[in-house]
Amino acid sequence: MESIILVVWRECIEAFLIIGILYSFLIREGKGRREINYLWIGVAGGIGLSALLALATLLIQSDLQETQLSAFQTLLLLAAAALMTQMVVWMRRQGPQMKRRLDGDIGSALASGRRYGVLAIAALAVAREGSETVLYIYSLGINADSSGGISVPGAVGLGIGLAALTAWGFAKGFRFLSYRNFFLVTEVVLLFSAAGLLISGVTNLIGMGLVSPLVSNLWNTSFLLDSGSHTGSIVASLTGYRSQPSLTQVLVYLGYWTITLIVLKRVSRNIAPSSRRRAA
Amino acid sequence: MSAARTIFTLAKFATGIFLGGMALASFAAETPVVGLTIKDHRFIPESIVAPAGQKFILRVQNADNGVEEFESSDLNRERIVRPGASTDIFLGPLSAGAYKFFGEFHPDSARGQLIAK
Repeated sequence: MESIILVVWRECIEAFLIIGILYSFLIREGKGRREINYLWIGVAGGIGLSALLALATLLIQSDLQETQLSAFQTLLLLAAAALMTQMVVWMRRQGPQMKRRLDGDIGSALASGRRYGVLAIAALAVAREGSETVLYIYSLGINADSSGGISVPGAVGLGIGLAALTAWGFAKGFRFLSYRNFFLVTEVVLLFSAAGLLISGVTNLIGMGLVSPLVSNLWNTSFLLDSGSHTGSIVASLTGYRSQPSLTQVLVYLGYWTITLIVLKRVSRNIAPSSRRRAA
Repeated sequence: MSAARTIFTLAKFATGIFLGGMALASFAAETPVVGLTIKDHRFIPESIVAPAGQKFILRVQNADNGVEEFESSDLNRERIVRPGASTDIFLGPLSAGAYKFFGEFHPDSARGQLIAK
């Protein structure tokens, strides 16, 4: 039963962490119930999307359909990576002093765009591992071997509960950070998650034979941290770490950080003269 | 059900984008295939041999009635394998050596390794 708890916890933890940080972010910004509701709508949508993807996986009839579904899921990964990165750029553009009221049409349009951004990021973060979790739980239901201890639903519930608790712990911890450090942590978590999503997407494409690995197993750092171990797989999804990456993955990873950091630097430089930053 | 169909329709668009520039079929036809079966939450055989230094396809067949996920950090792959179905995973070129893999949904029993030589 511990293995069920562990698998479910592992599948859920990343989504919960993302939700936790978006929640803390909205609270920090002093946003009301309405803003936070968009987050919950996103979470609910993500659960629905997970169920649909799992159902679609089980209904597949042909190899072509399997390829199509894999391609679609890969597209979701890449979209999520793009949205998270864009969210960080947006946050940077607003400057650390986001509490100031946005008035007028442009302000509210910006704000509503970001609301949907939060909604979409939450939905995609949940759907990323969500469909696998649904398939896993479904498989457990089929092979219900209640071999002692707690029941299967109990173990699944415990796994989800522990993941939620872990993320809640992190979110609580974030509250002790200063405003400035909180923004930094949020940016770092979102950017590394986005890099992780991007690498997962690229890995899918390589496994489908659509993109060449160029050189497989470029190096091996399994002795430090095996990305197949419990800890390693969480680090992998939160940062894009791979213990035996291909050259393509390394290039994409470096390319992502180079472009993102250049864009962020440019945004910060444009903001600096407006003095909002200096005031902080 | 109709929602699942919508997913398939969207998936078709996604595939179109991906397959656009790629001559996948002609390439796949010449690639050697290595077979692997999942039964009773175990891999059969638990040790498989694959050619080193060239691309190949690992065809994973799931003979169980539950879903399994083939996962390997050594091979850098993860793939859901539906019950009663098989899936093709593109691998290589690998340098000679042993590569561990496992079934993520049954990590205690489903373990195996691929020997590239």
